[in-house]
Amino acid sequence: MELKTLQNKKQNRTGHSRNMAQTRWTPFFFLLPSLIVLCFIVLYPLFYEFWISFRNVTLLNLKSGKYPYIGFQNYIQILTDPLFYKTLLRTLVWTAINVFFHITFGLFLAILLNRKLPGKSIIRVLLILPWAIPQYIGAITWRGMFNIEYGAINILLTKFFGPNAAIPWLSDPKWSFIAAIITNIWLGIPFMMMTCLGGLQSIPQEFYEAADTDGASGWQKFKNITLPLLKPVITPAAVLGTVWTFNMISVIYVITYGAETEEAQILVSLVYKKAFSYFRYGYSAALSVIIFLILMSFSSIFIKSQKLED
Amino acid sequence: MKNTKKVLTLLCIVALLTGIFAACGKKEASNQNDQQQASQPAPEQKKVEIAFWEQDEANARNTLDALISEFQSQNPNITVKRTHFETEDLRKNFTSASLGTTGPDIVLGPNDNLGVFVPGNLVQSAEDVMGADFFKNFDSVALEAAKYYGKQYMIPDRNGNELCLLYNKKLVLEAPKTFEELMDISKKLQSEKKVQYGLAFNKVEPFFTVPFLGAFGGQVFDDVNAQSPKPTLDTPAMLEWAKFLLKLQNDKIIPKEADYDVASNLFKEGKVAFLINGPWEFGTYVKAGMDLGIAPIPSINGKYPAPYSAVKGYCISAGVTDPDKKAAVKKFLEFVNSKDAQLKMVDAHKQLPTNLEALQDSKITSDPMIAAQKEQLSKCVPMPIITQMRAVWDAMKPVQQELFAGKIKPEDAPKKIQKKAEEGIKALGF
Repeated sequence: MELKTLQNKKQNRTGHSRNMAQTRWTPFFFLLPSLIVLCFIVLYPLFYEFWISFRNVTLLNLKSGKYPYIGFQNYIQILTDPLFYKTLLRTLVWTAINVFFHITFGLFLAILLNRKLPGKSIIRVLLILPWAIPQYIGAITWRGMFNIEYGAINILLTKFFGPNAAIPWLSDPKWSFIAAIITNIWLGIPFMMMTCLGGLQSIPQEFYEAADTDGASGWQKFKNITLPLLKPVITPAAVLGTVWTFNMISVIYVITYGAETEEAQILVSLVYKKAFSYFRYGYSAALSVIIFLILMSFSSIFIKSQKLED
Repeated sequence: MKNTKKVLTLLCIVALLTGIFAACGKKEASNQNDQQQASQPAPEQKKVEIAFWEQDEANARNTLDALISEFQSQNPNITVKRTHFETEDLRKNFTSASLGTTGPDIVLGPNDNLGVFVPGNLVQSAEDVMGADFFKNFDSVALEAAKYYGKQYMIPDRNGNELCLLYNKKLVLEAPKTFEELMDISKKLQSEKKVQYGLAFNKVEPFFTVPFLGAFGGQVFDDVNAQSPKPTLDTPAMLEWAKFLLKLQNDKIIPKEADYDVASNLFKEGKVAFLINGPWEFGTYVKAGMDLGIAPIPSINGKYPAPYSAVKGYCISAGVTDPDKKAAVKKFLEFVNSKDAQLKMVDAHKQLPTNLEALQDSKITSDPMIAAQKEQLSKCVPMPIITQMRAVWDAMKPVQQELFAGKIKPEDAPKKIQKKAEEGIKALGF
């Protein structure tokens, strides 16, 4: 059955293309330039990474270009290290919390902005601002605000809850991890908000009018109209957000002063440290491949499950 | 099945095209070279571009730009392109870039870069490029610090980089000689509500705390010149170090949390009387209108802390092989290390120059800021620049943080630092 439809489709296509004086390769030629670029910037580095993940590449032999093949040794070393699982768990927590708040806050603000509000354009600009600030600078500013005595956050905390309420955001690794999460939530909301807003504006007003006639409540409208119709927008945004957050190094790096403590690092900061402080390129490549596989399987499973629900 | 075939053909074609394009690219490039050579037959007229990477402070960068434009007007066929990086970025970017052709020809940075550059074969011996005579006009102590495996891989351009005790003369008339004195002054000023804390320094980076280890007779390696130096961090000296740092915090002599910027700003705003920082920042405080005093870090129980001294200087990339480029690099390095150029740089970095003529110049001998460093420099130890030092820094940093946060006791710190350092050294492949 499926084969038949496929053949049908194909016939249609070839028939069609003859009419338009095209060959079956025409679309391919249109795609060619971008394919070439993609090969250079995506495929080649990807294969190279797989290749060096099976080799012993260190500072000492980096320049020589001769990297001895060591099989799965890099992978074995990573997968037998308890630090990997601890860090993986922390990375999952980090990603889940961040993406959850990005989407809930983003959606909430988008719905607000989609209504009639006085001074809406100004509010919108203010809400997008975190996006316009370079991440690095945003994170440094937050780090300043987290200082135990001179940071704005602790000054507020001690004003409201007494002198013992100050939190050692930057010196206690557990708190710095939370500080990094707060910073990253702040940084990530505008993207989700804008994406949701775009989705909201494409929902025809008639649906809501019809629902109003039927006497639906606000929550019912949200649950039965807004959410289902936003799904095609939110699903890819959530996948993107997850991949970005999973690999978000700059915020953790800045807030924890280089992610030196094991209690406040995520997988990608571990890769960074192994590659660029310890120059263990083979090991880092293997770790990156593992991250790649985790993210790829997550994305495909997530997208598939969303499609199945439909 | 059909799909796989399609994908395969696609990949093959793409691979083929990539090859063709790559070939084209090379041809074009060599064509250009040919043309250049054809249009400019005279060898000394050949245009050379030098890629120059540095990690310097803002003041020094301005001076470097002025020097570069002066050099370029004297040598119209040479262009020098300066690019700035932070310490760590410079190291990792140079390492990655050295695999291709986009790396720098000259790198200006601290001498501990050598611990990465030399084992990685990223740089070449400076003596081979500059000739032995060139080094006759340099301070021998600085030259020694710029060697690795006994070979001159770096041309030192300044000597110092040492941490000193800075004090605000509006709050403290005379520098304390002992740490006990410093604590008394701090407490007095605190009780008079003139300052919030007595002393501030960057509590994040162990570079700022390692001087105290010296005051208790400790050092981080048994012998830096040994074949495989062993870290010596699980020692009574390290325990004293940990106890001392914690005492400073518990006695409220230092703030609970302070990174480089917080410490520096507290000092600038007069909220602390003393600061531990290096000569590269002296100019900033003077510019901010402070009455700045400079002294050695005071003694603890009669023994002086030993900050690390280091040289900064120029390295030549191993990729500089073309004779024209070599000549241009040589010319540029001679120019920036001339007496006049080094003296101009001193205005920016406020450290000792390395050129012997520059050292004798009245500008250096009469500079109060440089004179004030002399006493501290005599109490310094050279910073270990071997590759393994990376592991020591990375071991001290998190443990020091946990110590200040009260997560571990001073008694447990030495063992933990030692363990981490040994792991790190193993990870580095030594």
